[in-house]
Amino acid sequence: MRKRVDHPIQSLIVIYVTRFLLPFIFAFGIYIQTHSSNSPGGGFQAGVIMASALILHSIVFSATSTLKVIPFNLLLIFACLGMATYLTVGLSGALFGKTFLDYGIFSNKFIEAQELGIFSVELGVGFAVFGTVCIIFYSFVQGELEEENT
Amino acid sequence: MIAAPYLELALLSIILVLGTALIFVVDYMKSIIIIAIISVLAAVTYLVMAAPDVALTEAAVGACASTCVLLVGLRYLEGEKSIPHKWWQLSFCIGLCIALLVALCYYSMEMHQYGDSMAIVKGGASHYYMANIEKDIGIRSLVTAILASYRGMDTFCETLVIFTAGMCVIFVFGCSCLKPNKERGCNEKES
Amino acid sequence: MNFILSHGPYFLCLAIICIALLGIIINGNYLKKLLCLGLLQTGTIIFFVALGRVNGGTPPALECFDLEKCGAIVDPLPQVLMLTAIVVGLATTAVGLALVIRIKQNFGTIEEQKLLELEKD
Repeated sequence: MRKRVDHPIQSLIVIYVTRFLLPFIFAFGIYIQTHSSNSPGGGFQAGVIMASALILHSIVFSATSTLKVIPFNLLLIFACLGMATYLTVGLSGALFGKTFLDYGIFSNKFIEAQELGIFSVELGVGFAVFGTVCIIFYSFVQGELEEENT
Repeated sequence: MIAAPYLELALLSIILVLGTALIFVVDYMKSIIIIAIISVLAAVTYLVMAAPDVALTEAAVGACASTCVLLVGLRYLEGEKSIPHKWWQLSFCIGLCIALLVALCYYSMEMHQYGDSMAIVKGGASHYYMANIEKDIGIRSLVTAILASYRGMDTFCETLVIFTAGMCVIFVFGCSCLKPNKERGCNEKES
Repeated sequence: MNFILSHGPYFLCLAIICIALLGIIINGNYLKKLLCLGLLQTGTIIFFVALGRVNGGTPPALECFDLEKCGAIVDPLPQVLMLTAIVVGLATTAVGLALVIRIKQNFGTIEEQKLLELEKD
């Protein structure tokens, strides 16, 4: 078990409850992302909730340990991947001769096509918001290092 | 709760009182806590106004992420004594804002009543979406259908705005986390 | 008394907006200006969501597609527009806070009067 002197927060209760709760928070975010077409929720809410799980981990255990699990470059890739997904779905409509963001190209039955289009677009939004909120938080935490180097 | 908006009026009055306190509080930590409480009360207000999507977003963003970002940024800013304004500057500003409030309230008397069902105009955009969602899209959540399908272009540009803001924060702080000669993951300075 | 119940939420939202505007003008501290900007945004969003309220209306997640059978629904359009506005508000607050921290690191103060005096020198 890791030495407790490394953690910013020393209280046993906080450490154990955080370890217990983190997968549930992440699973709740994924639930909201996947059920966006049937219940309140969507990409924006899911992205922020998943980012909150990561931020909770870095508050209780130090940000260094979180960044060892998910490095900063991977968060940047997540954000760009989300935007690229949205752009790809939009441009694929234009490439096949219809308008930008036309979901009719995915299938012949319109309900399937709309569901597929909406699901992929919300997935892109979820990734982009998750990556961006995490990037914002970690830039604030690492800003001290930049001031020390200059 | 069907006829009279007592709960909304109570919640909005509490938010108003907290907002007035936010202007005059000097300590940074207290003002950040006040704005976190305002966000939680706003999330409850959205729930009372039958807007669960907005309530979920406000609870996740305002109460969690925004407060964390503000508290982490607070480490760099120590407390400073604020310089008080002269009395004539203060009274001029207060008079200006009261005049603006009176003018806005006078013109808002012409709007429909709160809760009036004539808010959804027959033949307007909302009525079109509600009438045609089964034929065009076929999913159950009206908000997601409008967000991702009917108004997908707006959502694309808003996501682009959020992404650009994230990039701006990286550039303002410097790209110390992306330098190739650091080991995997950034080291936090032990201060 | 009747117009308080019929237009009261609108008045209170406009009062929140005006109080936040007052806070932005009065405070010389940049961080307080940023927080009052966040309050201004919250007031505007509550105002928009209150525009779409319908008495006895259900939230806009449909149980059945037949509108006459299932009752009134609140107006979904203001909610959709405000959903993205909240997350954009977080992003702008973060960028503003980053700039305020940079100002503090370069000039040593975030009070407007002191910054103007430094600029005159």
